Amino acid sequence: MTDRSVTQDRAPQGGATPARRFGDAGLLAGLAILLVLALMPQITAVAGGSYVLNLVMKAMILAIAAISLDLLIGYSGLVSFGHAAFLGLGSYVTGIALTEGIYGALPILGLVLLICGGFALVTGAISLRTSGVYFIMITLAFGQMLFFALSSLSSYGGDDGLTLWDTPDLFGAYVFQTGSGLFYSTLVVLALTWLAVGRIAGSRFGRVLRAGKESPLRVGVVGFDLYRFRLAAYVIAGLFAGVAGFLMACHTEFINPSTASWQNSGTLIVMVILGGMGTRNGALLGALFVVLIEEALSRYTVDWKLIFGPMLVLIALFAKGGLANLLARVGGGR
Amino acid sequence: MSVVLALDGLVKSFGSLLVTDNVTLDLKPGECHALIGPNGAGKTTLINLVSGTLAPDRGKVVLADADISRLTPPQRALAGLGRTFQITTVIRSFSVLENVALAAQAKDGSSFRFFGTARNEDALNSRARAALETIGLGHRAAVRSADLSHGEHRLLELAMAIVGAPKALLLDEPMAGLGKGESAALTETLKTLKTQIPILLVEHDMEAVFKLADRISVLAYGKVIATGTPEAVRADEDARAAYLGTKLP
Ligand SMILES: Nc1ncnc2c1ncn2[C@@H]1O[C@H](COP(=O)(O)OP(=O)(O)OP(=O)(O)O)[C@@H](O)[C@H]1O
Ligand SMILES: [Mg+2]
Repeated sequence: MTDRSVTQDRAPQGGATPARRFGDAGLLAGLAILLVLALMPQITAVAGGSYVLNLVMKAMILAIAAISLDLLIGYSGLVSFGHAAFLGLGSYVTGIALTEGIYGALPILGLVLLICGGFALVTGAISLRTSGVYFIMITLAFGQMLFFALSSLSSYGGDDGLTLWDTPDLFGAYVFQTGSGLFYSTLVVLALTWLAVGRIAGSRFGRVLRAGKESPLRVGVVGFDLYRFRLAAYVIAGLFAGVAGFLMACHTEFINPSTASWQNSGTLIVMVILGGMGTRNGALLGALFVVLIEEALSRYTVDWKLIFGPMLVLIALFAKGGLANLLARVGGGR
Repeated sequence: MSVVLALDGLVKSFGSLLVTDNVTLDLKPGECHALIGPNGAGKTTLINLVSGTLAPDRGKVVLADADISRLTPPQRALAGLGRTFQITTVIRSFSVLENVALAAQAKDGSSFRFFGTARNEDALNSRARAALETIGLGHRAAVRSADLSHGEHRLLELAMAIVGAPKALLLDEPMAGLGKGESAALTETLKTLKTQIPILLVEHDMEAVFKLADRISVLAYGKVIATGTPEAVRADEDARAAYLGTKLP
């Protein structure tokens, strides 16, 4: 059967499916969002001030975690309810390292990647033996285990968390110190995450994940051991979220077990689903939207969740495909 | 090698229900071996035991002289087993071409490649295109596979099964739900195909079976009650009894 592939002329390339055209529009939309974010220091200097800039930064950090979670939920069909564990773990590794006298950003990031990767590998290896609701429950359980473990670190603040008096430095430069240095570092990490997840989704590896989301049976019978692909995706997502945790520790100058709480994991899921699954722009928009709306609503009333809840329901009902799809339709992307 | 695929004493029960009862049969190069039997006879179960989707209680599966009984479904696929499903199982959001390219990708080096656009890999795409041409679905390559007709779905499954050049094909009712013209066309395709890849064919369409099969095994309550040439099986009393009411042509 090998001769056929040789004699085959490949004149028509049937690659330009609707999904692909949409992908190009998505690329532009994503770059536009990132560009607006890059101008936030100037924009907030005119209106909003540092308070708003701080909020935007918080949203950007959460967006890194949300985009990485989308690799699992949106592209792989794996609803992880424990993704905030990696945020918490990344921030604690950072905080503990700083407290223990390690100040170099590179060694700290190395530790963050090593520990978050290790945690993802172990918990993922077990969680991925299950599927569906059981997967949701077991990732939730691992997340809670980590939450309680962090709460019990009495020498690092226990339940109350720990204020950090130092910031990591990069060869003597304080690019992770709160202010414009941290803002642009966060922006760079966010852009890299956004790019990487897009590349991964379109790669051979991502194609197996996407196919496995629809039919694990088919993917197996064609010759892929889906478990290994999903485990790798779980570790990759954990690494990105770990780095987000590092940035969060730098941003808040504080570490707290509640970063790893199940509520936080739930918020990340809401960001992904609200923004639109399987489109990294969705997770990005979702994170910005949730953080800003939460802030805006909570200014008017302490019962802001009473408003936010129905809003979620409305978006889920009427904006099929989430905010990213809404944006694409408004922009004539389809 | 006179036998490509051998099933040796396979046994499977679901609880107290014995669904595969000591089945031994084989598949020779260039042949189509049809497996017929009434609904619930255990045909799909047998295919699942061979492809590894189910684990047998006893017995073994030998492909090209290698015992593959302990391999997982993906390992068996890589060892050279291609299969289709009775109920169409394709990636509906992928284009037709990308479904087949995905299957080609499985046999083309490592898929732990995180960068580079898989959809633009010419080598995979041209192999996928060749398989689609063979099956007669080349003109639909760019269509989203959710938009295919039922008959085209069956063909797509077949293209995915053959693109990796397997050593043996397991087809579970490929004609199910096809129109008259469609099944006649598919019968012709399979007739050519079996000379390259031997086929273990589960099929209810007796017209197709008697056109295609070099040998037929009749399965009833999980047991092979008759094996032989189409002529011999047609004459066999037990085989007729198993198909009570169905007319063997
Ligand atoms: N996973 C399972 N658990 C329990 N019983 C099963 C399972 N799968 C199949 N069976 C039973 O095993 C028997 C054989 O089923 P199987 O699907 O193999 O039949 P078949 O010959 O393919 O039938 P058909 O012609 O309808 O496709 C049936 O009685 C079925 O109900
Ligand atoms: Mg069946």
